[in-house]
Amino acid sequence: MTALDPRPALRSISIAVVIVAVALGFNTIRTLGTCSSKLKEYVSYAEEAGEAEKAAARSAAAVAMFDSLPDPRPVPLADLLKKSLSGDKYEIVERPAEPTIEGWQATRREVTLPEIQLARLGDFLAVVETQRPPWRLVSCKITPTGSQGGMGRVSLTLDALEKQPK
Amino acid sequence: MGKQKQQQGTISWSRTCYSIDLAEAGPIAVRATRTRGGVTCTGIDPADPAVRGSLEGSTMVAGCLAEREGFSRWLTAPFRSERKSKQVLPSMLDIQLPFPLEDCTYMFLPGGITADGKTLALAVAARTAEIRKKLDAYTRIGADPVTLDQEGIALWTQSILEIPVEKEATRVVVSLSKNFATISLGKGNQFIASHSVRQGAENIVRILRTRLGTPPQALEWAWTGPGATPENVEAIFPSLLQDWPGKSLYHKDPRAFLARAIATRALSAGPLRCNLRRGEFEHRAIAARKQRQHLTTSLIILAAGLILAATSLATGTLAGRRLTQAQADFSRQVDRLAGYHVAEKGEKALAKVRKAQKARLMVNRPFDEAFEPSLVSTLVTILNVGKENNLTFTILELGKDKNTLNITGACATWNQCEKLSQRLRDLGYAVRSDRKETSDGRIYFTIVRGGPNDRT
Repeated sequence: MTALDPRPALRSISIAVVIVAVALGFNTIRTLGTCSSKLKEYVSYAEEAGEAEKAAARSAAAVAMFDSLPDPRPVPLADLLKKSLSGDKYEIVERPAEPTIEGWQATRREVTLPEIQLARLGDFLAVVETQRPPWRLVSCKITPTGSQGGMGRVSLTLDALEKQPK
Repeated sequence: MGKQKQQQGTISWSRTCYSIDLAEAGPIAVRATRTRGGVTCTGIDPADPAVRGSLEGSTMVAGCLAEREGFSRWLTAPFRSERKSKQVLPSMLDIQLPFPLEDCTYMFLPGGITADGKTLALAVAARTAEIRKKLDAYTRIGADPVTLDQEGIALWTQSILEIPVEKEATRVVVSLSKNFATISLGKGNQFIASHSVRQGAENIVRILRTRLGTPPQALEWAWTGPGATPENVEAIFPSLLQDWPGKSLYHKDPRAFLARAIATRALSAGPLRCNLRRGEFEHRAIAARKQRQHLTTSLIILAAGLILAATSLATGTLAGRRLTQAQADFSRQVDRLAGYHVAEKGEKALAKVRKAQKARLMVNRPFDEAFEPSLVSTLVTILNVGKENNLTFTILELGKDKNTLNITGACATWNQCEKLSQRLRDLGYAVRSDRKETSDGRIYFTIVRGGPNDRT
């Protein structure tokens, strides 16, 4: 019995395998192109989401900081005014504040000082902003009064965060 | 010339072989071994039982057709292309033969390209009947040669290998046997032709006249063959010298010269290698080797195909996995940001994140703002710039987020208030300033929000 020559079959198989491999290669190149562009998209999405996560983390840290205060209620402005600008007239009006997270409320006060020595204004502002929790200057309007040099009318809007009683 | 072409007709994969010259006076054999410096040959007796055992065993044997049993012709194909030349050479050879080409076994040895761009080839052929007869003769002494060389060409290449030809000299290699002489001639290293004649000076001269016409300036006579004894050479050389003067050279061990030539050509690559044991006469060792080579080639192609396929699949899978991983990572990131599972993918999921983020920023805003630069620092900066530049403010109004800005006042020169405008721009305010000089010589200015950078 003569042994079958394996060469023609092997050659055919080899050629078929090469053809399939080349086709697979082309398909892979196409797939890689698609995958690459999709990956680029997802990388940019992930970057944007990452920035959002950082911002969220910063916010959470800020809230945690306020939560950790021993007495999370702002010092009344009237007390601070008496302390820093004793003798000067003032008027405090409560204004609606911005909404915030549950358990906290943002309070807003408008302070009007009809005539003060403007040089003393800095001392007052330094005191209010270093409180724990602080009062924060939101807007101000200074108009010098003609009566004496260095005197003026000051209108201040100040915000503070206050923990709501449970 | 390529190495592959130089190996054509050889058994260069083997390191050793026997070569047998079926000379008129009886077989002459050598055992040859390829070494780094060339091929080393040792004379052996083919009748020795030990040698006979080797000949009948697996040892490679190289044989040779006598000059009168075959022939060689230089052919010039009118093409430079080797492929085209190969197509026309058989027809060109057929024209020159007095018998049908189909009765012959032939091969074409590459001879290079001529100056006018044509392909030169040396056709080497023998009638199949002669080859069969020769193989029978080898079988009678118990040998089965793998290769069948051509005597004239073998004599020429071995002669110039053993004694290099002088530059531009013409060499006539005369191999003397009992009754015949084989003449192989060439110029420099270039083979011209070979002939077999009955011994005698007049026969040799006739061939030289036919091939060379007139005596060349430098002629070398190289004597070899079993009959190249000093007495035999002396008997014919003086007559040759009369018309064809030249230098006389003797090859060492002239008896085994052809056997050495056959062995050297069989074991080593080089120009004008030939093996007329081909086609129907092809030796089973060569056929098996060809089969193995085909098999190896097919296996290499198969392996390359499989590697390519595997690499493609692996690359595709890896890329897909990487993308899936990136999508899963992003999905987890989105879920964390949204605070719940977001079913949407990609851009749509990101839109949801943006929405959730906007809502969170809104409610967290007072907390975030607590850690941003205070409006007090801006106020202090304005007051300091005012002091440095002697500005008198009449209204100074500031609001958060740079939304409110209204400063009016007076100064002594045009540029003093501009310094304030510039400082505010440095702080990120988009400002528009207005200046006016009045009759008292002072400059009244107004700085308000606005200008080209205002995006609020």
